[in-house]
Order: sequence, then structure tokens, then C-alpha cells
Amino acid sequence: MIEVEELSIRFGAATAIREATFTIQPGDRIGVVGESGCGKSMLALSLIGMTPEAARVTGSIRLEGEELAGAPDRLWRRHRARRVSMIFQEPMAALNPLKRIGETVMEPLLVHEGLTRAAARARVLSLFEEVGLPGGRLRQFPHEISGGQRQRVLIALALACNPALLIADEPTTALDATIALRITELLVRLAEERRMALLFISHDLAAIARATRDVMVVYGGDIIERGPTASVLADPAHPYTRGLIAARPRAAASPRGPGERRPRLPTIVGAVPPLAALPAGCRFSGRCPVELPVCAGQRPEAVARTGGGGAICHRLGAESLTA
Amino acid sequence: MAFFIFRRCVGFVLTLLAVSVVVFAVMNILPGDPALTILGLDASEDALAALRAQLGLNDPAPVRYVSWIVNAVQGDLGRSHSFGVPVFGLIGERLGMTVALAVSGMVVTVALALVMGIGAASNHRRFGDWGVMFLSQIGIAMPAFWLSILLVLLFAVKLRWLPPGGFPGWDDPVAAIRALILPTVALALVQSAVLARVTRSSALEVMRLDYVRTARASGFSRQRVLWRHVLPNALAPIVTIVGMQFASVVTGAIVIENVFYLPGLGRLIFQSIANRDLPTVQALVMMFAAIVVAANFIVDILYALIDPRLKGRM
Amino acid sequence: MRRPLPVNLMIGAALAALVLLVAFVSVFWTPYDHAAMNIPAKFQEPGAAHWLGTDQLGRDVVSQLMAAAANSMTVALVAVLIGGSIGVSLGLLASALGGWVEDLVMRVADIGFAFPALLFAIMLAAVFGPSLTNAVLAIAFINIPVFARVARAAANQIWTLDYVTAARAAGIGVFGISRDHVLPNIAAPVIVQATIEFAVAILAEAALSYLGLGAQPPSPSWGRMLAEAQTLIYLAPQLAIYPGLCIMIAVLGFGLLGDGLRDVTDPRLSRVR
Repeated sequence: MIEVEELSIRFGAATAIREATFTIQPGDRIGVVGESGCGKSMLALSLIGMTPEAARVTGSIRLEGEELAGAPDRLWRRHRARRVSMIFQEPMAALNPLKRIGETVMEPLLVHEGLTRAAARARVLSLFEEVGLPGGRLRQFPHEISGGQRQRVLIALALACNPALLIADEPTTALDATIALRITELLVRLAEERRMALLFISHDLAAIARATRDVMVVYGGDIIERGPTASVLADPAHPYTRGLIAARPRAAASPRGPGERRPRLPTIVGAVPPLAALPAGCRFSGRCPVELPVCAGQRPEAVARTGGGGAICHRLGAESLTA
Repeated sequence: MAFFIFRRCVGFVLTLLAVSVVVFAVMNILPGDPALTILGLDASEDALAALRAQLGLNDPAPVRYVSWIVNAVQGDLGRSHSFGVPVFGLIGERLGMTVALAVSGMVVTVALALVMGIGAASNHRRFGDWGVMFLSQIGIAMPAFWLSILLVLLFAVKLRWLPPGGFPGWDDPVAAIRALILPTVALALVQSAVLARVTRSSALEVMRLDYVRTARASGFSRQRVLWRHVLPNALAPIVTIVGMQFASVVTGAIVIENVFYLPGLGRLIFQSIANRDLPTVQALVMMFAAIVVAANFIVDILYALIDPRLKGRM
Repeated sequence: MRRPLPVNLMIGAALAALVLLVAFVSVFWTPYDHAAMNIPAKFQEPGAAHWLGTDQLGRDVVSQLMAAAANSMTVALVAVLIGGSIGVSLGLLASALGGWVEDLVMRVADIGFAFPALLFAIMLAAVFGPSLTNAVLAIAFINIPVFARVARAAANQIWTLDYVTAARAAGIGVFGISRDHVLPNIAAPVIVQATIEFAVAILAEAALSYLGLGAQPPSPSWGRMLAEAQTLIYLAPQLAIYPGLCIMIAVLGFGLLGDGLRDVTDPRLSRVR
């Protein structure tokens, strides 16, 4: 349905995404995981044609056969809401404060599908029911409802025109843990019921584990590892993925005896370098604990990983990672 | 909400009273003898005394102030010396002209400013933006009366499309509208320069916000996003400036009427000054000041109506 | 890192300097006596003898424009100085005393905003007859509330700073602190406002003189020149161009200079440009 080939997004000298290639099929639930600033939001925006004006998008993005990489806004506009929808991180600010939420969800139906107000209203009511909002909320303003409810409104808005792909950019980051969990479950249920593809972007591995079947790990603009979510999380091949999983806080990971000190959380050494200062070879060189001399200068090739998918790392081809 | 409006109403009346005190003080208490001003230096003592008595100048100032206000509230604004008729009727005859000019000027101002301001914001840092900013800079620095003269020079003297001034009366609507085109444009071009800048910067603020991104992600056209989502949210500061500008449009109308020889209140003020017709000047100045205060009052109320978020808090 | 000076500041400073220079020169020298009539030489085209020609009385246009510049600058300067010093004093007083004094001053300032300069000038002209002095007073009057607001807002910030608290602890009175510590530190916003009000005053003087409420003949004024030129618009349209251009250049210059100074002294306000 969406075929992305060698997609690069550049800002002047800085590279936000480097030659990414992947496809999304109907019903897929794909996670994109990585630290903030790794380029995952830019990747998401490029799939709906909303990268900032300064960004230069090269390569290929084919939406049902139509080539849209670098296409002008007016071409993309025909597909937004109808083929591809997107929800964003901050539900607090993502709704027009002057419009009643029912009106907000109704607008794409009136504009894109040419429905009468009565028909649109009926559709909004069923959408509200689908996302778990009481129909009585139609006439409320965004400031009158909670953050979780706002995210539900945004999901209803995104689904209004039955898109084939829903991009969710950190949809739960700004929410409380329990509400985040329910929103994640809602997205999974909607994707399954509607046979809609879901691209779920998050830095939260637990949410990724719950929401997705496949995952792409992004670092420094490269997709450094991909594969079935369960396999990647259980048996990461790339040293960065390992670091990411190790650095994830777990409440009851290892039971401690009384007086025993809480184990120090492992961290990845250093910080993500600015996009303009990334090493030319493997993006992770310089921070990698198992770096080889070749890493900084030469880009590693993709290598198949056990359990499906692949990873790009010089270690994988040459010798055992644990050396 | 009701309490908020009530409080604003009280403030409005108090401001109006304070303004009337200032007008009365300047016109009556500052050194100078109105009777002498009206009749001139060569008037006889008897005539002066008679006029003083007629104007009630022998009463103490506070008494005169109170009777002025009490009469004004009842629609009696005093008697014009030069025209020999009640000021109220004099104003009534000419009010239509000034209102027509001010309202058409304001409408054209807002329309022009919104188009230019939103257009500039949507072309931020591109040619259209720089063009609007440059033009508005020129417009702000340009005196309205000079722009009027230039417009007359071009459209009346050189091209002969429109009359250079004067007003034929409303009996011939086409001629009346033709006579109002240049004054309206002159009034609006200068005013819209300021408003376009405010519109632009307010729209730019709003365009960075998340819900505008949501609207774009919903596949709405650029124009729809700008006019249905950005503009309503950018309106609050625009309304404030429109309210403040209404004052300058009204005083601008005084000037423009004099440039184009239109028979409105602005002309009446200057005729009254020339005729030393103090009661008329006093009534007119009070009226214009009241319009300015009323405009600000209305803006306050509108502000609350525009934004549903404010309703709960008042 | 030093940021380059903003473009509007440079252009504004250049235009304002040009106008001030012309005004200054005109005090000592103009090509002709600006008031000298020479009826046989009336309505001359621009040429070597008269750069911009002559008017209906044969007066040299350049000389009139130069003399009018001096008049305009003087009016603006006096009006802004009077309005500014009264307004700043009131603002400082309001900020220093707070409480009901502050409320009162600010309410009175609000009332002042109900009077555009034109209305005030009309009142003064009706009572005392039209004159340049009345125009200056009217412009000065409307400047008072503007400066009172700016000064109070800026002074209120200064009063919260540590060195003011220290001065109070040292037993210095509120007026002493206002003079020695607050006033010097609100100079930047006050000067910015003064520059902008200077431009406003030039525009107001031109309008009042155009309407006959300001400079009286034979005192030269751009506004009055325009009023005379308007009656001759079929005979000598060029006379209606030059004075307007002068007003525009002067207002543009001081307006841009004020905007530029504000950008330099208070970058917060110029974020969205």
C-alpha cells in the first residue's frame, strides 16, 4: 500500500533520515522506536507530506502506486484524512479551541465526503461510540474535556474518512500511564476491526510491545534494526537496540532483598549527536560499546537476523556480537 | 458573564462622565470669556452681558456642568449661535454622512487588512510577505489627507473617473456612492496598514500551534485552514486594534470630510470653530469622545464573546 | 556574538538624520527666503534657479520645505518633551507610591486615551483660536498617558530588583530611589517610545496645520503647504506632491528608528517578524 524506497530527508547539511526503505501493507501494525531527535517524527511527517518547508525529501514514497516524494502540498492534500491520517503527541493543543468537538470531527466529513450536516452528525456519533466517547460530548469545547478524551476526539477525527493508514506520533506520551494504556489498546482494536494499517511511533518500548507486530529501530536517521516486535525486543541484534532495552526502567525486573541497593540503571554512553555532526559510517559509532575500527568510516550492510527482519552492524557480518 | 458585563457598563458610564468633565473644563473653565470669544473684541458691554446671561455663564461652573449633562441626557445639547437652531437637530442632519463614511471606511479597512495580513502570514518570509510589510510601512507613514489629495489628483484630475469632492445628496444614490469612493479608500488604506500588521503577526502566532497542524493533516485546503482555523483564533488582538482604530477612523473622518468637502459632522466642527459657536463645538467634541469610549467598551464585550474559554471565568 | 543592527534601524536612522540635518541647515541657510514673494516668477517649473520650482506667490518651494522641516521638528520635539516629562513623572509616581495613587493615575491615563489629538486641538482652537502653540499643547497632552503607561510598566519591573530593595533597606526614600535608580533604568523603553511618538507628533502637526488648527501663515508648514496646494490642484499639481513626501519621509524615518531601537533594546518584542 505504501512503498518507501531510499527515502532521505535533509535540512541543509543535516540528515534527518538516510535512505530508509520499507513497505506498509493493509492491517500492518508497525512500530518506530528511537530516542527523541533520531528522526522518527520526520519520517512520520514525510508519509503525510507535512515535513517542514526547509526539508528536502528525496527517494520514493509510493502511495498505492502514486509517487509522492517531494510532491507539492496540493497533491498530498488529496490523500490526507482519506488515505493517510495522523494523530499527534500533544492532545491538549491539537484541537481548535474555538470549535465544539462534534464540529471538529464533522468538518472532514462535510468537506471531503460532501455529507449533509445530518448525515455527518450521525457518522460523528458512531465514530464517538467507536472510540469510546459519550455522544453527549458533541457540543463540548476542548477545554471542557480531559486529555484522554481529547486524544479520543483526535482519533475519531483521524478515522472520520476511513483512512487506510493511521500514523500515531507518540500518541500516549503526554497522557497518564493508565489512560495511555487504554488509548494504545483502542488503537490496536481499531486497526484490527478496520483492517487499517497503524504506524505507531514511540520511545516507549512497553507501548510498542503492546501496540505493534513489527518494529523499526531508528538511530541517527538510519533504520538500524527491524523485525517482528517480540523477537526484536527479546533478542536484539544491534548494540543500540540492546542498549535501549537495557536502559528501560522496569518496576519489578529483579526482586531485591531488604537492604539491597536498587541496581543502577544501565545507560547508553554519551548523548545523541546533533544531526549535522553524525558520523558518516555507522551512526552509532562513537557511542557503541563494541565498536570496530571500520565502523566510523564505512556504512554497514543490512544483515538478516534470526527471528526475522535484519540489522545493520559491522559486528553482525564479521564475528559474534558478544566478543 | 452577566456580572462581567454589568461591571463593564458601570466602568463605561464612569469613563463617559470623566470625559465630559474634561470637555466641560477645557471649554468653560480655562481662562477666557466665551461671550467675548463669540461676539468678538468690539462687542458692547450690554451685548456681552446679555449673552452671558443667555449662556448661563453667571452661574457657578458646577451648576452649569450639571445642567449641561442633565439637558444632554434629555436630548437638549443647547442652541447653536451661528445657525440659530438646536445643536441636536444640526447634528442629526449631518450624522448620516459621517456614519456612512466611518462605517464604509471601517468595513473596507477590515476587509483589506484581513486579506493583506493573512496573505502575508501565509507567505511568511516570501515576496508577498515583504510586499505587504513594505506597503504597510509606507501606509503608516502616509498622512490620510495627503493620500486623499493624491487620489484626487489621479482619479479626479487626471483620469476624471470620480468627482474631486462635494456631495450631491442621497437622492441620486449612484452619484452619492461615487462621491464616497475616494474618501472611503483614503480613510481605509491608511488604517488598514496598521491592522494588516497586527493581523499578520497574530496569524503567524496561531499558525505555529498544534491545531493548525491537525487541520492540515485533515487534508483541508490552505485557504480553509487559514480562514476557518487560523483567522478565528487570531481574532482577539485584531478586535482590540479594530476597536482602537474605530477612534482613529472617526477622527480620520473629520479630516477626510474637510479634504473632500463632505457635509458631515467634521465639516460642522470646523464651521463652528470658524463661527466661534462654542456650544456646538462642545457638543460635537463630547460626541466624538463618547464614540471613542463606546468603541473600547464594545471591544471589551466582544472579546468575551469571541473566546468560549473566557466565558466560564467571568 | 554581536548581532548585526536591524535593517529598519539603519534605514530609519538615515532618514531621520537627513530630516534633522535639513531642518538644522535651514535655520542658517535656505536657497531663498522662504517667505519672499515674487509674483512674476510664480508657478515656475523645477529648474536650476528653483530646484523644485515656485508656488502661486513665486516663493521658492525648496526653501519653504526646509523651513517647514525646522518647524515640524521643533513642534514634535517640544510636544514630546512636555508630554514625555509629565507622563514619565506621573508613571514614576504611580509606580513608586502604588496603591490608590497608582490606580488613580492609570484611570486618568485611560480617560486621556479617549481624546485623540485632533479633538483636543479642536477644543483649544475653539476657545483660544487656532495657533501653533495650541497644536503643540494638544499633541503634548495626548502624549502624557502614553508615557505614563510605558514608564509605570517599566518602573514596576525595576522596583522588584535586588538593588532597589537594597536601596530601600539603606533608608533611601521612594522619590530618591525613583530619581537615582529607577529613572536611569527605564531610559531604554522611554527613549524608544519617545522616538515613535516623535513620528506620531510630526504626523499630527501636519494634519492640524492642514486643517488650519496649527501653523498660521506665514509660518511654513508641510501640512499648510498641502492645504494651499490642494486649492491649486488643477493649476500646479506638483505642489501637492513635495510636502507630502517630506511628511512621509520624516514619519517613516522616526517610526522605523523607533521600531529598530525597540528590536535592539528588547528582543522579546520582535520575536515574530
